[in-house]
Amino acid sequence: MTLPDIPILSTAIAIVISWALYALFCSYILEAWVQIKADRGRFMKNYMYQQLMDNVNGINWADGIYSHGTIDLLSRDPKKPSNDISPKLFAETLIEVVGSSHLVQSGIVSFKGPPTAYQSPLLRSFKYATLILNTSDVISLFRQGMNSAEVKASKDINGNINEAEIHNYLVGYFENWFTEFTQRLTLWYKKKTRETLFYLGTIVAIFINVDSLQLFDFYNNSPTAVAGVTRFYKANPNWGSDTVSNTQLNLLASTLDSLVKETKLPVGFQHSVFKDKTFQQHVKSNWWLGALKFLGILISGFAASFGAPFWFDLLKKATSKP
Amino acid sequence: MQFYNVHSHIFNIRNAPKNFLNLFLPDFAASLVDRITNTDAGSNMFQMLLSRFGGNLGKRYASFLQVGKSRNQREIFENLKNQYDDPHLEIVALTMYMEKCGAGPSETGYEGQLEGIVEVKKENPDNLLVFLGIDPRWKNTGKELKDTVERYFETKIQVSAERSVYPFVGLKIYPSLGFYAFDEKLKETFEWAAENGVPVLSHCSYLGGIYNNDTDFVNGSLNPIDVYEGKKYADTFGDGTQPPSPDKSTNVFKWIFGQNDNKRNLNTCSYFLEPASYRSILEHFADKEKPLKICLAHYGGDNHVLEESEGKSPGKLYGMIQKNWCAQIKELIYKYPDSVYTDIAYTVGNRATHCAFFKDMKDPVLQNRLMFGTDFFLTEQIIPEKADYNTFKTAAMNQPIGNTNVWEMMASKNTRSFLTSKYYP
Repeated sequence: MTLPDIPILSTAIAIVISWALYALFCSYILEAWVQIKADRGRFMKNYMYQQLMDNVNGINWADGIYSHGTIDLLSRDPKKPSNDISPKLFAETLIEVVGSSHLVQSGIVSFKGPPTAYQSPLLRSFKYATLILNTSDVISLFRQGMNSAEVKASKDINGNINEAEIHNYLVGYFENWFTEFTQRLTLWYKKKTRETLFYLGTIVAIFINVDSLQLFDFYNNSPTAVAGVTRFYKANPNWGSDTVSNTQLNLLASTLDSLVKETKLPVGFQHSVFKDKTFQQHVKSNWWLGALKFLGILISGFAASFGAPFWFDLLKKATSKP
Repeated sequence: MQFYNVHSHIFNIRNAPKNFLNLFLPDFAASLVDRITNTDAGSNMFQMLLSRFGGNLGKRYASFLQVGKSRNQREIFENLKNQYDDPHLEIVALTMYMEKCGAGPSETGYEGQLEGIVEVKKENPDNLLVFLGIDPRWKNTGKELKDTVERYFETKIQVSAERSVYPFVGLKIYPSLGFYAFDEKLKETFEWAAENGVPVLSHCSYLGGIYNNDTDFVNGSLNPIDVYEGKKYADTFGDGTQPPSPDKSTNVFKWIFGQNDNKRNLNTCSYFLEPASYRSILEHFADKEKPLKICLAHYGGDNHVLEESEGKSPGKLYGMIQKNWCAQIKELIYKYPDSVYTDIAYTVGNRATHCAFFKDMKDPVLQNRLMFGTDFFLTEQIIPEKADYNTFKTAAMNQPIGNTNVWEMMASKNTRSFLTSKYYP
């Protein structure tokens, strides 16, 4: 016996299936918007600007990186920056941008400290940058990278440091930093997506009447609908998986529509607060109905914010046989 | 013959203060507009609305939305360059220090703006002439400011294996952002500029352009010591002269939308720009072997140019001298003919002013001091750069002056004389 076989839980399973499908529907809308706006690229760019702003020296190193040909040429449209920057490309560009900046080059002329002995102009300029620029969180990062590379690089019998090794270690250091940064960025983006999905889920729920409380009541009183929804899930177990094909994705809207018709779910614009005359009349005399509707819609928004994979995973666990 | 546009801007929105839009709109609207204009459709819609209903400042911001949201300064410069039929035209791009104008810092930082334009200069060494924007608040002391400026000018940039060029050719100041040109911290830099023939271009348009929106700072900075005279600014107009007083008027409509302070700050900041505030500097450098070349840009603004030409009274002005700004600039040119220049940037977009320019170009002193500039990209909503340039060029070429014409004088000879220095020989 599995959970769905317990009559009292079948309604809950039907609700979860509805939430899973609704979350999937909202995710598709959001994904389309994200693609159009190149939102991931913008998100990454904005955070890069935030993290690499060097207030003490009055310069944002991210601006130099994004204006540099190696990164600039990766974006298909000026307003659609790429979010696919490899750590190595980032590291090499950063070293060049910092070292070749006019801020550093003009500072080298008046630098009173000991000269750096690197043969490579790239390394020499970057080393000067770590010496000339005023201390800030960003410059501390650069200094640590340079120091770490110098400590690790080998020396020949005359005590000359291997510059190629220094370069590789320096690039490696910034590659690691960028990898860690992008990992955090992924988490931050997930949080942002969840928030956006909540707002989107709530707004869409208002327009197509995805009222979780009403649905619960409906399923409770309609075993046929519960059976229909459960049957639909069993027939399409891969909706929530990552391997779903594009053709299947395109079919989602029409499939959901036929499911709603088959089970007579109170979902759709004709059931919304804007069209449902009965609801409009009742809510005038009983404000509690309006509050319940609002609560039901908010719950749907929360359900959408969890994302389809979460609900499908839950369903898989709930419906699998021990 | 080499021609020039002596006045343009190529900074983008990331170089401008984060709350730049709040200078023009109520806070709630500014936030909304900023979000919506991140898309092309939203940006286009607001450009249209601001151009129609936003007045002069609205048009400036609309232009900012149109061009300033470009990817970087390189893209804006390419846009500008492509509008000219003369591939050899040299364009002066003015950088601006806007970090302390009461609208928050920029996203790139000021040095970031400079790095961006230096990169554009590397790619366009023969078309782009960069003016370095300076502000007394940029560095802690006058010496530090002068040392920084000198270092930035002296360090050549490599444009190819065999060629390097000076990145900057002039200085730019924007006093309405909250300081007077006679500020103590600017003095050493101006002395260095005079010594090397480096030109200085100052914004000088009545109620035109941006301003400082930090009311307390603005109101507290109106009557500092004029370092060249050694006394309070108001006293340079005669002992007992009333000091500049901030605008304290109330506009109910603007007050409701939280914009009353903005309007008042715009008015009050006029004191910083007034041509009369440059007298002491000009007097100081007139005594030197090498005078400071300074361009009081915009010729006072189109309204003042027209009113001066028609002999109309300007009405009550926010300034120490109740006198038309165009007339004030002319007076300074007559008095300091080796120092003072002016340009017709932005003002030229109003075609009615052309006759006034042509009339002034018949004057033997003024005809050597007026320069052509457009103020791209802040003019784009009024008149596109190409039309602005072509219209004025065509009209000016038909205005003979001896063996030459107004166009050659304004766009070539006068500008060349203004720009010539150690860094632009």
